[in-house]
Amino acid sequence: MVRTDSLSKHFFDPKRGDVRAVEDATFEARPGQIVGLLGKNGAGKSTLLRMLSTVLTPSSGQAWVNDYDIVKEPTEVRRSIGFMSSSTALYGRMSPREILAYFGELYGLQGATLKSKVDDLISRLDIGSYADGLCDKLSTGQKQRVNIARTLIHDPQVLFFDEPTSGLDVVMSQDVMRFVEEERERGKTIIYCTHIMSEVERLCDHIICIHDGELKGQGSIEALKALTGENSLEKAFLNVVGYNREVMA
Amino acid sequence: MNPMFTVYRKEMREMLRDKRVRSAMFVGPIFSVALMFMLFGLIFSSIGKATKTTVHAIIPKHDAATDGFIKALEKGGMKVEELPSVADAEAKIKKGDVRLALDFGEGMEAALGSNKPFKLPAYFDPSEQKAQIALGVIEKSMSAMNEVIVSKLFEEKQIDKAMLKPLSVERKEVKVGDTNTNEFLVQLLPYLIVIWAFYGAMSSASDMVAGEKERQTLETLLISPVARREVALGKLFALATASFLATASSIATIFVFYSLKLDFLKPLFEDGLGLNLTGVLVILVALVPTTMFFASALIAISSFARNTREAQTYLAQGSILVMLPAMFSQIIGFTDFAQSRVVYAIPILNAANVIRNALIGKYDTVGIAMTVGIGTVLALVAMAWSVRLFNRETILNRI
Repeated sequence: MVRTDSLSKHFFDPKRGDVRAVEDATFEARPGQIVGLLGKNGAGKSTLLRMLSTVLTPSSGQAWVNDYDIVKEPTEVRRSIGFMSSSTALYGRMSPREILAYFGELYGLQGATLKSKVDDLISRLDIGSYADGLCDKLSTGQKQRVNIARTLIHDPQVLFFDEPTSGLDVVMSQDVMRFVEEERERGKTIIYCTHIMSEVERLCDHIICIHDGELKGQGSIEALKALTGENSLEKAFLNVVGYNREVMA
Repeated sequence: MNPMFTVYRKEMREMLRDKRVRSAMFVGPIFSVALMFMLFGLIFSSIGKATKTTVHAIIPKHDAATDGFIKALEKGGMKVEELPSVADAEAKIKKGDVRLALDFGEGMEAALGSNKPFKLPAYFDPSEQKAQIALGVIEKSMSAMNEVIVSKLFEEKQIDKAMLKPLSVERKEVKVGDTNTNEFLVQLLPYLIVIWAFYGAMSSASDMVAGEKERQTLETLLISPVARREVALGKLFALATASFLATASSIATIFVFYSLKLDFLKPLFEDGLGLNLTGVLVILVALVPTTMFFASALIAISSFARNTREAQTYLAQGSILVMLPAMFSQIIGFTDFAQSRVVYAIPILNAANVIRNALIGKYDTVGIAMTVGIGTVLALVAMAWSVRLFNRETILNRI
């Protein structure tokens, strides 16, 4: 479960002055649900995820991840989450098996439990043939599989995916989405950031449209279409964020 | 397992698999110290052979005085070749074919016969060191001849030969250190050891935090339940280990070269190697806080930088700050400063000075304690600074 209440993040940029990266964000994501965070680049999606991951401290408001307060109980929050982004690299001079063991240890796994978890993920994500080679030598798709395994090593209850298919080919993108769906079936709470409408339509149970740091609208795909009177998600999104009005103006 | 140790072990594994880092930890220190020994060994052994170099002479007329002097030169190990004229000698000196030419003229025999002084013109390029060395040998031979001539005159006049040198210094060496090391090694080794302590760590510093920011792997670490302080310290200790290993490699190379007992290295080790087990322990004790200080400062710089390129720029500038006191350690022996305890209050220079003293077997307990104390305080301050920078919210996206 992820719950936010008027969560905001402001910071000062010498060039732009006071920047309101996220303003009054209130939403909820439940177990077994994929919540799509939809917005253009720079809308505030990553800042919101970084606050929920405790990397950034909110300027105001509150949020709970797996019932832990993100400000008061950051370690418990971090123990409950898995974070994956397509831009996250791997340690080139380590093998996938070593990387999984490293992160497993950081999450407190040890000995036989750690070994069995690593072996299980290597088998589940079909990493076996390259599990002991250096990550520098892997293809983009292979690296992304290792990244998914790294995210799942401690079996987190909450998963954050930040544009996980960006830069991937069609086949690998399908694989990533399949893993996301599998995790939903396992009852995980998932927040999925993207600007690819087809992915949202396939995966998301609930959508949050974010624009210039503000949540402009949320609900199911059908509810958003009905609210805006548009027949496609893309048009509904543009309508919600006020893009049509901006163009008209 | 302690998460800090997990981070430390991972960083060590990555560093040891990186060719650049291995080169800075082992190949660089070993190679530079080895190169230094080989170059100085060759230079020192060639200085010994400098007397065998050829000097040229313009001899219009051979007589007893001229031939006697040439024989004295040849006895000193020099080879004398004749040239037809001074003009020819000057032309050849300008071309670099001749280093030094003596113009005997015709007056040497006559002058000496009538007990009158004679000046022997020597033509040479003053910028040519080998010519200067040859000139020294010639002057030495001439001084021996002068002694013979003057003692003959003294005998004729019934003056005591001892009055040839009415005033002279009698050397009475007081042994201060336990051991001796060649003067050049004493000047150069502290510099090399300190510099490698810095460069050993510098090669991987930019990659360790700034590089992780660039590759976005740092975010995955910060999202883990491990405290940022533990991540920072794990990296810092790994860097300190790299720095320490680089130092150990350079010290080990000194012992390897000493134990090889190569002929051309004999002039370097004719007084033995001043470094004994106590010396090595003193050097290592003095270097532990220094390496910790280097590692902490490097981690702080890497944490502050937005990317590896920015980190490398800062690190290059930082290396100048390390090099200056290290370089001063090379000439400190020529100044009164070497005897002052103030030296031990100056970071880096104090470590270099402890190494210098250890090489000549001198152990100043107060100085060593000051070096370790000041180094430890600095290391702790730099450690706190690097952990503070690592804890900043803006570590991932400094504006």
